[in-house]
Amino acid sequence: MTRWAFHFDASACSGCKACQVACKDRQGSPLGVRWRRVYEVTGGGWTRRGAAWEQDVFAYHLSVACNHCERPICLEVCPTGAITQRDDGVVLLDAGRCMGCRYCEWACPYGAPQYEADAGHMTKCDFCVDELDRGRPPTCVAACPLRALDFGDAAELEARYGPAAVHPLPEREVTRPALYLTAPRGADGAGRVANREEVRG
Amino acid sequence: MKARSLVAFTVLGQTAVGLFWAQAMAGWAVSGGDAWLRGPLLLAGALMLAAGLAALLHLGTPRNAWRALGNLRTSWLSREVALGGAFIVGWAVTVLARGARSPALAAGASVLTALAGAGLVYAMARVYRLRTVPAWDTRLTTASFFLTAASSGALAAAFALGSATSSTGGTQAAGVVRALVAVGVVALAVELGAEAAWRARRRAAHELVDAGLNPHADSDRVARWRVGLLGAGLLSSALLWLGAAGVAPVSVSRAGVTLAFLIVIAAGVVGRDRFYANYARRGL
Repeated sequence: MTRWAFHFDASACSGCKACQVACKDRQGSPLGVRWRRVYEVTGGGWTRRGAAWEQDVFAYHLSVACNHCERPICLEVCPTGAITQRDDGVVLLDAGRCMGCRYCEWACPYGAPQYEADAGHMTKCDFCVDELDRGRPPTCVAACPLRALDFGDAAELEARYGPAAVHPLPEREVTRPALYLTAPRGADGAGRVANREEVRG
Repeated sequence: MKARSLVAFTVLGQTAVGLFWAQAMAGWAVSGGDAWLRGPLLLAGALMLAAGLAALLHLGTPRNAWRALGNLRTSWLSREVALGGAFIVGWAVTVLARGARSPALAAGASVLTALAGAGLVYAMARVYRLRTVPAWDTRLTTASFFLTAASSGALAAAFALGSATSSTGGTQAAGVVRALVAVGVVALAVELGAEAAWRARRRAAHELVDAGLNPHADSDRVARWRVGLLGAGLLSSALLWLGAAGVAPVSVSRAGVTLAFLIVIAAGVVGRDRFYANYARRGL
């Protein structure tokens, strides 16, 4: 059976946030709730060498939603059983069962579960399962103008791209995400997220 | 992270468990103490019920709280709720059995409730030992929760017994108060000693998270308050104990025990507030 996963080419993303906006538009999610977020990671600096200056400044973007992990920590910690996983790997949240304790939000290293304060419960990316079931791509993938975001079978994506690490994403073993990456320059851990106020609200 | 209701839940819940242990051990150590141990026993239940109410305030949809037993297989939060429920049920049976003068049932219920309380404090700690939150994922979390139960529980019991002894004037009760204050002194000394380990752990954990997403939250001012309150709690408890032992010219007055208890609770609240402020997860 197909196990769905995302591929994100961080070397191609321009940070336009079309994916984030398309997702919000489709879900009609309220202010502050972003199932997909674009993180801006920056680093490097200027160094004087004799009379000259050298710079290794870099910046890249990470478009991240729920990665529908093989070991979903949100599902593991949720006390009510509101979070479940389909056979194709898609992790779903039943808002009617959620008590709004926000424990999944604490635990998820991707910030995927998002709290909807007015409704008093968590929400999260559902991989646009209704689109998938109709044979169409998730909305964020369809919206990406640079084709930096893609999706497909996890085994195929892993064979094609391998388990690349991009800072500050956690080690794959933590939750085994269904996310495969093409690393940009500077992805080795020297950068830091620069738009905290935007992505954490 | 805004966590006032969780600070209240954990500190009150751990105090309730420590208080139950203290009165149970006093009951086993001293025969015929059921009458003057009624105060501490009732206070333990009241504190646990208050803790439960505080926990409900944290929820976005409290009407779904009953579903919290739905994932006992993997969720420590689910187990925490189950053990909290077991503690309350056990406490109620203990109260009823003592009221009905059924010592065998009271003793059995008391043992099971004390065990449920230990399980509850352990589950409370495991809730926070998330592999994605390095500042919390340490044995220090577990140790800290049990130390809070021991120190604040022992002094809460001494505080509650202060009322009983003033009316009954029992020398047995006075001896129990002295022993409880001694337990408080030891637990507070260990808590104070563990502060350096906590600070080192927080610094090391901060290296494991993104500095852009997680500005350093460990404030020196709050740390000084925590150490100051622990020190004041330790000093006041130690003076009370030395006074009770006849070494220092201090009497074990109700006011003194109350003051020590309030200082220790304040130290617990400040420490727990800082614990939540240090939340920072791996990744994004």
